Amino acid sequence: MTPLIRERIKLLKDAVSAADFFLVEELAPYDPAELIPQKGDAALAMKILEHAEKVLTRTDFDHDSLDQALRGAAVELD
Amino acid sequence: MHFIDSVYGGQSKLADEVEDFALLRSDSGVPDDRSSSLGWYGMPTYHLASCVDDADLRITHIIRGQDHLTNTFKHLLIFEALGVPAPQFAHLPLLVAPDGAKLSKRKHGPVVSVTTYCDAGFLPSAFINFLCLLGWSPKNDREVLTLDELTELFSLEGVNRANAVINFSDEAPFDAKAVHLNAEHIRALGVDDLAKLLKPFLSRRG
Repeated sequence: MTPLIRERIKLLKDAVSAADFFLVEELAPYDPAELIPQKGDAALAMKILEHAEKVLTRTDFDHDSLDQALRGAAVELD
Repeated sequence: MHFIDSVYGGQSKLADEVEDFALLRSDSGVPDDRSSSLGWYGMPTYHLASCVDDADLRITHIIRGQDHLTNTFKHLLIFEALGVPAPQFAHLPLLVAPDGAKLSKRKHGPVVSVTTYCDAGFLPSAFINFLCLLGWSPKNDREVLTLDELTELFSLEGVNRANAVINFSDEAPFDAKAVHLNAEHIRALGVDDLAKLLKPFLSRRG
């Protein structure tokens, strides 16, 4: 966990918010508004997420595979 | 009178222009103080006490805030009267708030309290790095420096004469440069060292 948050925190106290998802049984629900891109709308967000879900279900869960699959998905949607 | 300040350079003043100043206060403020009841043996003022102490301890360098620059002429007179050579003086620029006011414990409590930075998770190495860059910079413009590097690079000649501003506001209580330096010092830590430092912060959360 430490290597992951080392790049993201600026103060040691930031670790609490940067690492909280490791420490809770269940994640707090996302605010749907946060998923809508700045130059987009809810319909676009829905389209991207549905496509990402399809891609992720058939991708191995490791860094290189995920990176390659999602970059490919982004090009397909462009 | 003349002296060379290591930061502000040559300083001159006619001895006639140095105002009369007290060396002892006749009223010590302590009613049962035997010496004060004599009338002329009171509490030494800051000027006398600090110079006698510096002479007694054979202090070689006096490094202090720029607001003491004009006091130095009074202190030179005291050192001369004591028959000891005056130390080397170096006056440093003051730390000021964004509005230009001198930073003070009374007015800017949390900003000047080390515990504020400790509680927020500033690393000692980053905080020292930040403090050293207030009013001083290395010639090579590097900013992220360890204590060993700072010790190697520091010289009084590199100290600026202009006061140093610490930026803070209600929304952003810490100077952006301090936060940036802290992030850099955190990234330079090994995983085990960082994990030890994070433990108390994560334990506090439960």
